[in-house]
Amino acid sequence: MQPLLTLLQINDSMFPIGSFTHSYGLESYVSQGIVKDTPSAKVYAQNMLRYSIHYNDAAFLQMTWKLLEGKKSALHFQRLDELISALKSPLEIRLASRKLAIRFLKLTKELYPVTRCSNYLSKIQQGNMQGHYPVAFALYAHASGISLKDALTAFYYNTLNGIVTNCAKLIPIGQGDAQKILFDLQATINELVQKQEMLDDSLVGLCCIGQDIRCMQHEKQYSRLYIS
Amino acid sequence: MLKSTIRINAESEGEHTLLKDSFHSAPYKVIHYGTRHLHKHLELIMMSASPGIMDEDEISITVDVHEKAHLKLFTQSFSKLHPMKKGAVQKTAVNVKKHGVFKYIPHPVTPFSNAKFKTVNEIHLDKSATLIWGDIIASGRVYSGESFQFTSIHSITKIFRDKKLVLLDNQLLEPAWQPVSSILFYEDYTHQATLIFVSPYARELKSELDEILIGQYEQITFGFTECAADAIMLRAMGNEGTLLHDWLTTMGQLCWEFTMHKSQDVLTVVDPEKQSEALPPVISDSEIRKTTDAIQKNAAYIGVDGKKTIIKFRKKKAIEATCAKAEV
Repeated sequence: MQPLLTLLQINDSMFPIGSFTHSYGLESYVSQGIVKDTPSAKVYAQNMLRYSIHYNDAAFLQMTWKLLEGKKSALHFQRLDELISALKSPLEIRLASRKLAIRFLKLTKELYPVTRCSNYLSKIQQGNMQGHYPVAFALYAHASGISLKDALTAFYYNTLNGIVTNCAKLIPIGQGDAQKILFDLQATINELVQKQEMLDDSLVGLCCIGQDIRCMQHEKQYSRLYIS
Repeated sequence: MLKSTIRINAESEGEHTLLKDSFHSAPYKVIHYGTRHLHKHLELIMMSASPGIMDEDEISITVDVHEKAHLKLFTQSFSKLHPMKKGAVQKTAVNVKKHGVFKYIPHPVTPFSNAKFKTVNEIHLDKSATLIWGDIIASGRVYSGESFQFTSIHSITKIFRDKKLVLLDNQLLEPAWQPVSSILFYEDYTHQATLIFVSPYARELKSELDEILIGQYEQITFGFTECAADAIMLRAMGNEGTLLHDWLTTMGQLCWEFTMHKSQDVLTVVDPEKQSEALPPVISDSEIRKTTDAIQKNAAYIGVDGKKTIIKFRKKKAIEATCAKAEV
């Protein structure tokens, strides 16, 4: 198994786990005219990486990694899964994380079976765990010999890629502008990856109030293209 | 610099809830809110002789709501956080036992410039217990032009149900490095509010709220969700603390009424022969009317028909349609 090629494959936006069906509240922002053009899309993308992803999904990935490196017992993973569920308040965000995790685990099982991944999947299916995508991603990436730094960088990149692709579809902004945002935020991603390890435990799961509200409002949005 | 302790112990005796073994140290005081003979449940108000929370203050609040006890805890006024260097800490521990009900929606927290405050709430609930919990954070003394001048507010709320962590709300506001008025944060608003309802009846209330809260207001923006199993979270942003507090209190009261109504069905001993008469249908008409009435009152207060036009329902027709449905 080639670590780099595996990372490129599982991190591809076309990797069929359904990530393109989620906007994580962006659809509400766009429909309410808050994210409306390239400059506001860039602010949204930057804020998402810096103030949401860094403290949430990227932190969960890192925490899973630490548990794996420390060869921690199943109980620790169970607790982490519970912690993530308790932090993800908006229902659609919690369900998105679960759906992506299940599809990711099912698909990667066919590519290269990993015991921890299969155990996680069966616990989710039995209802003992909720299931969260960053945990699933970390479990598989770790087993594939990918480094934490690469896994994190790729994870940030793919999250940002999802954001700009959704912006291009929803607002819409030009494909060129979307790619420009993706390129311009390289330094931000690097900085966040470097800082990830130093993140204090008390800051894990920080919530952005506006983001939470827009994600909740999405549940009631009359016409919508995305699941979340 | 003050170390203060408040301890409240609510126990049920027959149909009533009584205050037992309470304790408070200066500058705080806990007394009955109005006459204690007016309700079967217990109503307490927490008062303070201090103008607010000062640097290095440490406040510890413990609330025990015992089996079948019902407690509403009120605050007297806005909680003012004065300018600080080291910061103040507040710790609240709540324990609600079997069939206990606890409601606490304090006045907004108003941080002055350089205020530094950490508040940690740890709440343990029995699976049959109900929690109605609110919190509102202002950006500062907005009308004096003091908005987001504070150093830090860190609010952590952990809710356990049958010892399992079900909800963790971790909010850190540090305007020095966060774009607090930008997308994801307060946008152009100055206040944020959260209401949490954890109860065996939360799912049923959620489907009621899905029918009731169909509009958006002009001066506040809000969303609500099933934040965990048997739990609802409602979050809002607005520009006025009093308005948000009134609205949150109304919504909290709705949660309270709903819980009381539902728990009566559980706690009343039903004669098996009359069981079919005694048990109400899943959602009765009167229940729907009761909830929509409460919202109607709320809407009237915030000025749909009155002289004060603070908030208007954008979808007034839709609200009327819901009410008409309830009257059928």
